[in-house]
Amino acid sequence: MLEPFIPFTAKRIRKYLNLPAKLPWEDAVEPLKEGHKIKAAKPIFEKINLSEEKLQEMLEEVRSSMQKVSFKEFSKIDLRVGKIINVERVPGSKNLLKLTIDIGAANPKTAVAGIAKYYKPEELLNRQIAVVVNLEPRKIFGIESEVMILAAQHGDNVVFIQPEKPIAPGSKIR
Amino acid sequence: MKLGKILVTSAWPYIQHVLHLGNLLPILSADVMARYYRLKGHEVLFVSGSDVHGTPVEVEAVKQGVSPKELTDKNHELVVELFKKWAISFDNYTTTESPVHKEFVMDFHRKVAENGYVFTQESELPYCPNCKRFLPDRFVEGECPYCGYKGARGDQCEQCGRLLDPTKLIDARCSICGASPLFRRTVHWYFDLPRFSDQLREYITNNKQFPDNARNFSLRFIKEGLKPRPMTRDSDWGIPAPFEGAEGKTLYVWFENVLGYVSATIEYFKTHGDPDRWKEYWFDKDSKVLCFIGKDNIPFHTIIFPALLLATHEGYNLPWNVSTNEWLNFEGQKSSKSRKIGIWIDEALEMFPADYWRYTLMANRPETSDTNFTWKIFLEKINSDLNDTLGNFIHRTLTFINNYYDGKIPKPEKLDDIDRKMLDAISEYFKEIDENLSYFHIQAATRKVIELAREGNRYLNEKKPWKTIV
Repeated sequence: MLEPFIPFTAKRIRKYLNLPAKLPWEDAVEPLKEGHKIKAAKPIFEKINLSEEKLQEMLEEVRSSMQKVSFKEFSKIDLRVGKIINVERVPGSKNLLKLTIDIGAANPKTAVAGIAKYYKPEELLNRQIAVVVNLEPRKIFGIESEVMILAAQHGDNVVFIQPEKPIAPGSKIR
Repeated sequence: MKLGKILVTSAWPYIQHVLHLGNLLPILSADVMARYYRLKGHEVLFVSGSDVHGTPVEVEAVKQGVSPKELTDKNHELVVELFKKWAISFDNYTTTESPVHKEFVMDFHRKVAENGYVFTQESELPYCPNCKRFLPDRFVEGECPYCGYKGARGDQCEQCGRLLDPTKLIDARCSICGASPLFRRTVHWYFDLPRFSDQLREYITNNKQFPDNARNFSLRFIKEGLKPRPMTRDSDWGIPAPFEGAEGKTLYVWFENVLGYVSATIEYFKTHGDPDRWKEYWFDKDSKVLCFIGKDNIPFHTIIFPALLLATHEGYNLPWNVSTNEWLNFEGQKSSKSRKIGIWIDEALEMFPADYWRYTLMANRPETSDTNFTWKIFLEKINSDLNDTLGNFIHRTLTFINNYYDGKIPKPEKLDDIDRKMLDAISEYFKEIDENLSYFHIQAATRKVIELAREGNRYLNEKKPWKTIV
């Protein structure tokens, strides 16, 4: 009787009951024969332990993860490997570090990044890192940030992204 | 007893976007009924397809800067995959660009014209001086002259459902550039709908299956006086109008997509090596044509489609029922892509399994008035109905048999009153569910299935079989 409404579930239940895939409608109220062997059953559904607000958040997260970017749009972003050649603290800020990054061009570029809480300046020096080099520059704490470094975040855990093996600064990431 | 054939159809979705849950309702309802009839032993054919023509697609293509063909090819492929994931059991899901459809539609309208139901008339229609084109249907927006709704379109007001004439729109504007249109003279081909008024009134009045919403709307529509409907448009995207002198014009979507129910049947049997069998569904008098639609599509299915079939003089079966759902709102608001209100059918499946949504949608199917989707209702349906009631009942029963009887169905003991009451309840519910479905009361049927599981839980709690066993 579930087949018209929830066919996936009906299929699973037929499997547990050890019944063929096709059964006529009237058989829904036919008792199983004595001695008919059934199979082990797992719980059929899973309870959703989320609040209404959390469900709405979940929907919005799913929506943004499904937003498709065309290849043309994606190719506009110039991603390169950079090498951090200088690190300074930004006076007056607990979060920011000023990085000087060699991106293979004549002049190194400046990035202002909010990673002071996660890395000490000396841990970053001479490391290779993924960089977006063609973002519009913007002023952060009075310093012009010309490029942006990439990092991964999970709650309070923040790590920067580096190439698996060293490669020449300026190498294109694609 | 030989059971008649049933052709189950659901309105062809426009696919300028992926569908939202509300758009899925007629398709899902049709699927439930197609599955039910198959189980009952009917020969069932379930057809639909993507409506790739029409101005909603054209307007969206202009906005995205792609051709309507590119847009709809991409989206058609996408929705075909999604329908599989939703377990929609179509026998043929095609598109209005299918060669079989186009050929059938052109032949069909040539016949309608030969029978004298088509005439030409010159009229003044909105033309955008900016975009340098006529503005059919959704290319023009304005205020509805009947209900005052601001976003009414050239062919229909979404709010009150009335069919409109673009010249009647108040403060009309081009939906692409916003300019006020000029009115230019152009010739169009008209379908002589008023000649079918009596036949249609009789058909609708005598049809016992139509739900009240479809019957009342249609009878009021006829009472207000049917008018000849323009069948052609000044547009490149669509099926060429097959009339003499109509070069460069295409058919209005609603004069071709409804014929897709027939052409999709033809296409199905053609690809299955039995090219004449489609006629059994459309001409045998014990076959039934069953349409599932949303309420904005009523006049096209109860008036225009039957009138077109009558206009061939060939004795086509008219829709036996047009099961019409009302709107499903999202947290009290109308779904809107631009305002990000609602849930789309691709997103839904990223969140939860298809059956969770199928159940929630059918248990809330808006049948006599609009219903509301809220997360609260969703949680209640999944946690209380599916998990605690249905899932629990099945799981505990099967686990009990596995644990205490080595997985074998035991020999029934002597029945007591509680057992007999339960057995009665089973046949009673089964009868009611069957009856509900045969009257298209899908919502009630869905709910009763859960109620039966609730009875089952009550029975187990009362009998406590685990106590007597040890």
